[in-house]
Amino acid sequence: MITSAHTVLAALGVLLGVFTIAPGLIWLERRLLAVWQDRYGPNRVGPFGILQVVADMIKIFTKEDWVPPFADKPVFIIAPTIIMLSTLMSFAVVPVGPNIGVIDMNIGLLFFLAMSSMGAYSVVLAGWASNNKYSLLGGMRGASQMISYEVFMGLSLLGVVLMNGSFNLREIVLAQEGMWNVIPQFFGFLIFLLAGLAESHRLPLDVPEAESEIIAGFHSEYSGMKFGMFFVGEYIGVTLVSAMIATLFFGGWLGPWFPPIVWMLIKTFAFICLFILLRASLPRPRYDQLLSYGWKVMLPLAILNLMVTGAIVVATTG
Amino acid sequence: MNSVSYLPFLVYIAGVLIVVGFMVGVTYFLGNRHKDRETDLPYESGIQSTGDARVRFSAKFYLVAMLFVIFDLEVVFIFAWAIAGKDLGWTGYGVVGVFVVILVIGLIYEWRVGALDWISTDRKYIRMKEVQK
Amino acid sequence: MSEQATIEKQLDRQFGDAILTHQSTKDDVPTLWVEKARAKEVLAHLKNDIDQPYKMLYDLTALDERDREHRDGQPDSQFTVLYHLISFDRNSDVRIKVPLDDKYPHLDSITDVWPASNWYEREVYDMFGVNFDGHPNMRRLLMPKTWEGHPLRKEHPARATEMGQFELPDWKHDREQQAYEFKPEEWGMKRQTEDADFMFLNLGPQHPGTHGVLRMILQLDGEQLVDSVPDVGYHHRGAEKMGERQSWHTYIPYTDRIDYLGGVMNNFPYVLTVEKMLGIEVPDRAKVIRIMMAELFRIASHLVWYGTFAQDVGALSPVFYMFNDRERILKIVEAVCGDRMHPNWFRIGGVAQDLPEGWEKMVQDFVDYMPKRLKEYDSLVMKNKIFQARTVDIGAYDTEEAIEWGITGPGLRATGLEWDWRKKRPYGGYDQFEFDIPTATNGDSYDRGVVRVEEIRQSLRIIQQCIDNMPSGDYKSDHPQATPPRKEQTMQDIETLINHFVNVTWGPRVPAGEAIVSVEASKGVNGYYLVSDDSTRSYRTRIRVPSFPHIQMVPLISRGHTVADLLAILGSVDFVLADLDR
Repeated sequence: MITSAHTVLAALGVLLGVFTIAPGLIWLERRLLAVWQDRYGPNRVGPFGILQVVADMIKIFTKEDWVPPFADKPVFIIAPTIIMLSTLMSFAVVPVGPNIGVIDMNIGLLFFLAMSSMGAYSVVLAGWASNNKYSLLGGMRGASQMISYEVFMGLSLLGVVLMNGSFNLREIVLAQEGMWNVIPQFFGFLIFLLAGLAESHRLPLDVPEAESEIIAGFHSEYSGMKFGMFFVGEYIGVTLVSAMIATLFFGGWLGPWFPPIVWMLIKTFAFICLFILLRASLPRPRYDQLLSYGWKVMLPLAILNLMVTGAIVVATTG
Repeated sequence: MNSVSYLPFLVYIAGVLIVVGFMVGVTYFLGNRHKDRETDLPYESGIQSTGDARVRFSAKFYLVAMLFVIFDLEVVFIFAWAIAGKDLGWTGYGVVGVFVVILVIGLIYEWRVGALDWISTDRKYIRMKEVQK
Repeated sequence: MSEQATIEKQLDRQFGDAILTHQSTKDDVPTLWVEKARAKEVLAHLKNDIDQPYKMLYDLTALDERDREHRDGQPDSQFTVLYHLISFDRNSDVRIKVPLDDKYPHLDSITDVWPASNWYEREVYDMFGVNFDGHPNMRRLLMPKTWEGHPLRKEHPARATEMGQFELPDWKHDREQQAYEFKPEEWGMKRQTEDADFMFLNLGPQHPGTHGVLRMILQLDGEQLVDSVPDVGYHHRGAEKMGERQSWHTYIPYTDRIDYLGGVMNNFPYVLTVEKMLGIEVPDRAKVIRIMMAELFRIASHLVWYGTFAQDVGALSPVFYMFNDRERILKIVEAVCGDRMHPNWFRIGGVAQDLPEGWEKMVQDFVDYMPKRLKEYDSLVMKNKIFQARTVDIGAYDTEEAIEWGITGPGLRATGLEWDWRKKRPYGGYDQFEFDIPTATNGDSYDRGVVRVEEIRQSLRIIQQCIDNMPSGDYKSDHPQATPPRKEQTMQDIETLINHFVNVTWGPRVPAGEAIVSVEASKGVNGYYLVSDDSTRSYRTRIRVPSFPHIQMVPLISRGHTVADLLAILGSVDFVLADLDR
């Protein structure tokens, strides 16, 4: 009984953790961008402006819940929930510590891939249901981008799977005791990083919502909390991708001195900061350039990585 | 870890659904309401639309979707090999190798026929006014 | 001079009776009055048939002559349409005037000679009610479709108080809204092809990427532009009409607001033109002060362009760095002028005040600081591979097209033509300075960037020379018409007191005549064509702005590119809507 109560609490703890980190990231991102851009960022509400998050939340909850009369209403409402659901569900398989996590699934990696590809629906449906031309353009861009990078994301992880012979994330972490996967799977890591960036459609790969081109892209017609859900969903996505990078390539919770969960958090935050740094420093490629790059560079690279890894794995075990 | 307990997972799913449901629903009660002359128009830079967004959209999207279906399905087959790659040895590697070679040939073919160029960069098209006629 | 005389003689020989008269102007531009029936023929001849042709239609505008008193020797005319042409081979201009003797006149359109005349003719129609026969789209350009009357006609009221109270009842609101709706058929555009619909998308006026209230109507095939129609005028404030109501002196602050990023750069052509008409020679110190401030503003304007261009292609940070640097310039401007964006600093005959104490250090600090930053920006923006992928080969045109469409400034130099008004037709003392004219070769979005970045460096060079060689002497001319007159003597003798009083209250009275002086402003060539009717205010103020032809060309250079490319092109063209719409 005690153990099941413990695990249920751990599961709720993960949920709570995700919901603390995601809004916290909004603050972190604004502060970090400000530092990198020679300005202050939010610094008025609370110490270091941290309560800005609370203020923003109160504000967004009391914004008008407007559903456009010209939109496809049920789809319009469902679209933002999909991104929240898919990213949050993915977190269920992330091993936060040796014994902490929602579920220890033996097909954890597949579950993650399945869930994260759901995110594309969110963008496509939002873009279509809005019945707005800018949204349509954004939705189309989002659909093409996300499903393209879906392919490479799957392929890039196969090297890891081959080496560890498991889809179980816990086992993958434990197998990195001797050496982190990033060393033998460096290309896999790079491809996954880029695919993760594209999946969470953040600048520089934010073509579905490219502000200077198509205003707000697929969520042009969204306001209030429904817009907020895309926003929070994006941050949860970033956290998720960072946590997955840490888990798959950087030994997850493994590390000396500190408790495992601290290591996991440190690694995750390091990648979150990397995502923010990328956002601060790079321009946005054009939509077709992004797709061409994916199919012409990333895909061959992922296949090559897979075959070379396969040969080495078979040769060493053979 | 012989028997995985699904209880925490179910609780987690319930928690996720409750939170998301709360987020969608609560603004319905908390948010204000307003109605102005242009509230119910789609946003198009402040100007009335010419036609709506329900158009026969000429997107290369269809092509991307086809490519995706093809390649993602192939990847699924490779997954099956990847998990057992160590046990299947060189035989398995050879089989997958053949499979991947076919895949790459397909990719090269698509590349050659221009299916991977999403925008026609033909200079003539760029200055072609005759498109109108 | 002799070359100009030859062209006049040549035209006389060729067209005989069609040339009504030669008019002498203050700016020495050969000015010929040509009969309405043969005007188009003469213009086509100047463009196509002669050696060293006049390839650029620099300006096309009109003049309501009905209230004018001093027209000595000019043919009878109620409305005069004037064409200002430039020959780059000759480095000289010619002005063709066509008298029209109707209340609502019309004449032949020259759109088939110069495609660039399209917007100019629409503007003339919009402002004067002059119709151009054979124009493909004779409709209003700057004013709303629903506007009644033609604002630059003398009978049109100039002040809101003369027009009755403004109201916007629902019926009017609906009418205005509907007038804005785009109808593809009016522009000869199809709504669909056999297998797909074109999407007509309003990009702007409320759009984060158009740098203001520019509206582009895009005809899209997927994401690719089939065609586009810019809709301008949302920023129109009637600056030219205001010129007719302000004294020569009190119009200076209005010029600040034309290209609002250019600050004193806008004062420059205006005061130069007035000085030319008055015959005022500006003291050396004032000249150098003017050049220094103008170059500072050129850098400030280019920095805004640099940052926003980078932002248009998705780079988030550069704009913050560049605005910080611009802030340093504005601090200097504030110290010198007391104001920042709209310094209103040049005066007829000089500048408003002498430089403040310690200006050398402020300016020197900036000149020392900037090159290091520029190097950093090069690696951040110009050398970035993604940035290059987004801008190279995007929106390219060659020198011939540039001249055809009236492109000046960095956009012209990016095509490889080494042409800078500061070098080719030095004004205000630029002949005393050493600097290079940066050029590039491809004329695409990236090259326009390359030229501007290098221009910042050249401007720094000019500013350094200003610091090192600032002449001593007066900051304003002793000429009795310099406005406001210098105050030193006023309390000593009555004549200067009277002069001061009259000059401050009415400002100078400019003898009848006309002139244009153009300067190399940050976005291209900016010129003020002023007509005086021997009065204390301008009879006609025509502002020739660079953004106008540059935006007119955008549909041509963006055709076939994507929506994303269009924003990169708009960013690279560097326009200001206040400049375009006036």
